[in-house]
Amino acid sequence: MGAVSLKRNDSSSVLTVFPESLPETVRAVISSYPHLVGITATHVANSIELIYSFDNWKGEMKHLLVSLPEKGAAVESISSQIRGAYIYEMEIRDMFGVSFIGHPLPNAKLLLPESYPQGAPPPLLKTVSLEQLMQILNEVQMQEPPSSVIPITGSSRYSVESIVILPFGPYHPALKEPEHFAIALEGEKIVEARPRIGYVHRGIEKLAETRSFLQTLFLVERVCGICSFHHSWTYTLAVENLLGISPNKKAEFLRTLVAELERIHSHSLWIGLLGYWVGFDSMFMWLWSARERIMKLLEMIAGNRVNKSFITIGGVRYDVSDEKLKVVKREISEFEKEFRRITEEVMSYGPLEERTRGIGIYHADTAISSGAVGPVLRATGVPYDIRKVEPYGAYPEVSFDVVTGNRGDVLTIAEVRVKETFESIGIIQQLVEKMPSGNPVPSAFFMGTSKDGEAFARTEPPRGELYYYIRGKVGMRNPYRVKIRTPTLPNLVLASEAIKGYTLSDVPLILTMIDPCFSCEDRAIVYINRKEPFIVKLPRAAPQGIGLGCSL
Amino acid sequence: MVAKKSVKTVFEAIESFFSRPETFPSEDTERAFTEVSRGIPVLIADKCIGCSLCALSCPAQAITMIPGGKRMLGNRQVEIKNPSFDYSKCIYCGLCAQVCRQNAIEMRKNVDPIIIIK
Ligand code: SF4
Ligand code: SF4
Repeated sequence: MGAVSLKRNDSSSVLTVFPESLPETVRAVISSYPHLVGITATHVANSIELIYSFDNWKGEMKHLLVSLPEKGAAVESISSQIRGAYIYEMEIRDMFGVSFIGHPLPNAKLLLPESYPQGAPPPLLKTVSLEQLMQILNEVQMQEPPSSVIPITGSSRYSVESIVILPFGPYHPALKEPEHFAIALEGEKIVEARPRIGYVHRGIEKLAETRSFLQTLFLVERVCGICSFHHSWTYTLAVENLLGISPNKKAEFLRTLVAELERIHSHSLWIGLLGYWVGFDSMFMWLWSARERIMKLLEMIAGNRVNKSFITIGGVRYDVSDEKLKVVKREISEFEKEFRRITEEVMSYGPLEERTRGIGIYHADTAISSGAVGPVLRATGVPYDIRKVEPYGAYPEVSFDVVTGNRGDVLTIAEVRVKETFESIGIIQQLVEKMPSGNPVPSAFFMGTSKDGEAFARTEPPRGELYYYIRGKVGMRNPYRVKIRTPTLPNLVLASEAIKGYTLSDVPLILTMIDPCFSCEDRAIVYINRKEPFIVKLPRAAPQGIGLGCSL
Repeated sequence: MVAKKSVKTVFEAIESFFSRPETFPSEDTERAFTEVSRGIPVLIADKCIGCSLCALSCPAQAITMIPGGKRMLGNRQVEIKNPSFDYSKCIYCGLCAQVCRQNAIEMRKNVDPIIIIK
């Protein structure tokens, strides 16, 4: 499974809702489907279609379909019922021009530049061409420096004497990626924090509509520098479901193998960074040098360390020989020893524990209403892991535990991630043992056209549930719409909740807790090369030195 | 417990003193390619029949078809086009080499680093 097509006539999972009755329907749905997976907007003919997707923690989904007219599209905001919805609604407001009545931030932008003209058409509408969009952006960027930041917390809400609103970021020594937070401070204490992202937009969702299915695979891989494989896998799952292709068993095993290696490298990277943020630099270096072993394995399997380009529609691109699998087995047990030694040492180190215990405490209720996913959610005891609730790849064939914690704070999340790494090591050992034979490489790459339909897919990258929605139109070489909901977006809502009540010096630590990858969220504006107008540059190999996610 | 730990620390210190410092860049970083890297696409012009399949599938649109002179195909002389790679756009995915039915593109590792000045 992992991917399911959306059947509009199946009333048990899809409900068509009138815009007026959305709030009541949502109220009724969330009592049994409490997790908001995402809100997908698509521009079809003269209307904008919104799909609200919910999950009941068991992998059963409920979709609410709302159709709005293109001109003056407006619907009630559901953020009063599910807090996390506000950030999805902002994304849709920026990209499709839908207004949400009763939204807590009625005028703020989330992704578009502040200088994007008021009357200009929203970028993801089908009627807006890439050229038109580039022209708009070119013009406004010539008039106004694109870096202008307007504090987004309405200052009138606080009396001026006691509260200081501190603009934090987008470029700040304590942040490794460009994002902006408006932090309201009372003395040293944080009263409120509001995120603003969009500084590393690359326009991937728009670009995907201009490229063939196969080319888009390489494009979505570049959404994130760490979960690159998971992005391409989730996309592939959705496309395979749409087109009715299924890979063979060995391909499934190899995909799972690479995905688990990716989880190990991501988690050891994060644990290292935790050391870095608390000022324990040796920890950072130990873990990153242990991680190098995994990176070399990835390079051996796929030929590339970061953007592995390993998967393809219908299988994988390279077979992995038995000799290589032996190397994987040997190296992974070496890594296990090394990782165990380092983590035992550092996690029992008093100052590290003191610095992280009880920092950024949050409860399961907050996590759920923010829509949080992944280790951040599991740390509060909710065993929500897509690998278990909606198994895909070779996960049904291996045994592993879903690691949970009992309280949400930085230390618990670190412990959850350490344990998950050990689970992944176990999964890899089982995969190598049980590896089936066969040729996982499809005889030809998919270069054909699509059929009518919609499909979505979910996987569990290191940071939590990743959701892709793909819509195809018959005879089209390109996808009609690709929607990506990355795990950092809802987790960011949680982080800005968890930050409240702590001091400014805890900000980097609490933000790191969610393992943020801001470049993952930033996908929707066109990247312009001024010298050669009308050429859209694809993001190339990860740029050096920017971001936690992409400095590698 | 404390004694055991300090003995271990002493051993570790001695070991670290003689081993390669972890803060040094690994040997691989000096080289453009390791044995397992994918390499860069290079055209073998006489195998190419100018079908443009590589240019159509390239995800980064890094391939342009440029006139490649005359070639005998069967018993006819035809004007063909050859792919030309823009290495500043290329993402080194190797797809062009995989889709080419003539095996006219090779992923090579034994090339000098490509210097891209734009
Ligand atoms: S290199 Fe291969 S795929 Fe490209 S044009 Fe020549 S024959 Fe066709
Ligand atoms: S290696 Fe990939 S990006 Fe480079 S030219 Fe070939 S297909 Fe294009």
